[in-house]
Amino acid sequence: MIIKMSKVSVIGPHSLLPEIMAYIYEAGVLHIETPPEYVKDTPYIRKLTLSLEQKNEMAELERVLALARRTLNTIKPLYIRIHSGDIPGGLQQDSFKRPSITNKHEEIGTTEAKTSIEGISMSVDNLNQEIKEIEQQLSLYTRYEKILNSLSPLMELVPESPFRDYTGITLYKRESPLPLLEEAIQRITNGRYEIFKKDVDEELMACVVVYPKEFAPEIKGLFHMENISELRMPADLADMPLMEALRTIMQKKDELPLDMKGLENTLKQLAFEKYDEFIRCFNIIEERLRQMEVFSGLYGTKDTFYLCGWMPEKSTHTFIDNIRKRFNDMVIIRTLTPVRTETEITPVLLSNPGVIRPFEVLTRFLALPKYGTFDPTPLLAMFFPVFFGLILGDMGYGMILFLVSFFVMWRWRGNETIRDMSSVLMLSSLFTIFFGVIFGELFGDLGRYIGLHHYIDRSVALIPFLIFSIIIGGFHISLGLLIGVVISFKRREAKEAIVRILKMFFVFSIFGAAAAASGLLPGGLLRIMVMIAIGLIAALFFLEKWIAPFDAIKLIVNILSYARIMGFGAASIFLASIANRLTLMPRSIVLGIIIGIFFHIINLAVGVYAPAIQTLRLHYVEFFDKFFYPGGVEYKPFGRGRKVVT
Amino acid sequence: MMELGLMAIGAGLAIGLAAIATAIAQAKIGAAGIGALIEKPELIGRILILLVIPETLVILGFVTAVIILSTPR
Repeated sequence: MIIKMSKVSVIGPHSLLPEIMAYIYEAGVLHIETPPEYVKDTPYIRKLTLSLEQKNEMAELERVLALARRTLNTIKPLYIRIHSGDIPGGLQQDSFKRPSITNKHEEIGTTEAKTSIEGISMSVDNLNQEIKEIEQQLSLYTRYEKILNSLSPLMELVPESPFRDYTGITLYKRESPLPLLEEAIQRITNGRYEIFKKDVDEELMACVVVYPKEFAPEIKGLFHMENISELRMPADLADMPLMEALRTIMQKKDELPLDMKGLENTLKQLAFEKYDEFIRCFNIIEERLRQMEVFSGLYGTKDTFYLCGWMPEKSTHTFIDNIRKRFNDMVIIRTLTPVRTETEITPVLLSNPGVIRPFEVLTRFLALPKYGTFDPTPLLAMFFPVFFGLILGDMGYGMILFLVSFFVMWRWRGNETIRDMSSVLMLSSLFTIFFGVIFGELFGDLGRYIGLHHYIDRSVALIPFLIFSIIIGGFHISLGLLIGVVISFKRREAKEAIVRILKMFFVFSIFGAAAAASGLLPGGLLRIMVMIAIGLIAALFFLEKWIAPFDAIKLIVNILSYARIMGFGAASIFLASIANRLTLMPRSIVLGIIIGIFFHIINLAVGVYAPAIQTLRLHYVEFFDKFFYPGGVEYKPFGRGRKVVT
Repeated sequence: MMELGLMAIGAGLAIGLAAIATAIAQAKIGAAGIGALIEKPELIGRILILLVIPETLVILGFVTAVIILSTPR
C-alpha cells in the first residue's frame, strides 16, 4: 500500500536555518520539495544563495566525491571478487575478515572522511600507476623478444673486450644489403671486424657487428647514412652496453610478472581491508554534499527562509511537536492541505507486510505508482507465484528452485534486492511444487514411471487447460478493471470510470457468449450476449470515439494472451519429457543419466526464466494497464542513515 | 491420411509464421531497447515489457496449432 503523506511548511529567520536543517537531518523523515510548489512563482520570495565559503566547500566535496567514485571503480570489483573466494596467493581467508559496516560506528567528520578518501585513493592510484608502468615495460620488452631470442645466442659468441665495441642491427633479407655492408665495414676497419648473423623470421635478419672501439663513430655514421635500423634499447637501458642491456631485459621479463602479481595482491588486500572504511567515508561526503545541495535549493525572503516538504502522516505530529518545543515561537511550522493536482508531485512510500514486501521489487522494476492511486504489490504477491507455479508445475524443479533460492538468499543476505528476488522465487517454487503434485509431474513425466498419481494430465488435457488459462485471464482482467473503476472514482475521473465499467461488462458479455456457444448456458443467450457486447462497443464509441473498437479488440487479445500459461506450461512438460527420453537412448546407463541431467538443467534454466518473464508480462502489460498509474516520485527523506552506496 | 497431413502442415504454418513475425518484431525492439538501455539503465522494466509484447503472436499461433491438431477427424 501507499503510505499517506502530509505536507509540512517551515518558516523561520535565516539565523536559525543551520540549526533547523540539522534537526530535520537528524529526524530523517522530511522529503524536501525544491522549489516549493506554493512559492516558486511568488515575486518577493527568491532562491537563497550560498555563501562563498559554502560554495567552496561544495566544490571541494564534489571534487572528493569524483575522486572517490574513480577509486571505487577500482576497489569495488576487487572487493567483490575477494568476497566470492578469490583470495590473493599467500594470504589466508582469515586475514580477510570484513569489519562491520553499520552506521553505529563512531561518527567521523567530513574532514576526516575527506582525508581518508584521499589517502586510500592515493595508495590505489600509486599501485595502479606502478602496475601500469610494469605493463608498459612488459609490452615494450615483448616487442624486443623476437629479436632478442635471435641475438642472445650471437651475443654468447661475441668475445668480451674493453677495446671492442659492438652494435646490433636488423636487416630486411629481401634487400640483401649484407654483402655491401660488409664491404663498407671492411673499408672502414681495414678488415678488423666480425659479423654474427641469425634469421629472426622469413623477412628479418638480426646481426651483431663487432669492431675496434676507435671505429665506432664511423661505423654508426655508416648505419645512419645507409638507413640501417640499429637495435635501440628502451630508454632506461639506453646507456648500458648492448650485451648488458640484453641480459637485463631477459632478466626483467622474468621478474616483472612476479612484481606485477605482488602489486595486484597488495591492491586486492588494500581493497578488502579499506573498502568498508572507504564506503563509510564516501557516504559521509555524499550526505554532506546532499545537505549542501538542499541548502542551495532553499527559498526565502531577505530575512527568512521558507521550506516545505512531505512526510508520512504518522510522523507529522511528533515532528511538528519537537520543532515547536525546540524553537518555540521563532519558527512557524504547520501542515498544509495539498491541492488535488499535487498528487502528481507527492512522493510515494510503499509499505507492505512481511510476505508481500519482497514483491515491491517487481513493482519498482516497472515504476512507482503515483500518489493517490493503487499499489499493485499485494496483487502481484497473490497472483505471481500462482501463475509461475501453473506454468512450471513440477515437483522436482520446484524443490531444486526452492533450495537454490534459499541458498542465494542466505549467501547474499546483505543485498536487499537479491534477498527480495530470492524470496519471490522461493514462494513461487512452493506453488510450483503444489501444482506439480496436482499435475503429477516430477522432472516431467518421470513421476509417471515411478507411479506418481496425477489429478490433471496437462500433457493430454491441452484444450481444457487452454480454456482454464483464458478463464483466469478473464477474471484477472476484470479484477484489474474493477480496481481501475475504484481508482478513477477516487481521482474524480468519471468518464474514465464509466469506460472501465463498460469494458468490464464487455468482458462479461464475451465470456457469456462463449459459455452459451459451448452449451454451458442456454443457447438462446448467445444472441443476447453478442447484442450486449455490440451495444457496449457502441457506448464506448460514444465516450472514446474511434479508439473504442480497438480497445474492445485489445481487451479480447489481452484475455487470449493468458493462453501463454497453457503454452509455456505445455512446452515445459514436453521439454522435460524429451530430456527423459534422451536419458533412455544411449546404451550406457551412466551416459544416459549425464545426458538426462544436462537437459534437465537446461530445461530448468528455461523453466525459471520463461515463467518469470511471462508472468511479469501478464501483470505489467495485461493487468496493470487497467488501473496502474506509473510515474510516482520516490520518497527520499533528507536525513542521516540513508545508505547511499554499499 | 491426406487430411492429417494437411492439418499438420496447417499447424506448422500457424506456429512457424507466427514465430517468424515475433522474431522480426523482437529483433527490432531488442536492438532499439539496448540502445535506450545504454543511455538509461533504469528503463529496463519498460524495455522488457516492450520486448515481450510480440510474443503474444507466437502464443496465439501455438494456440491455433493446438486447436487444429485437437479438432476431431
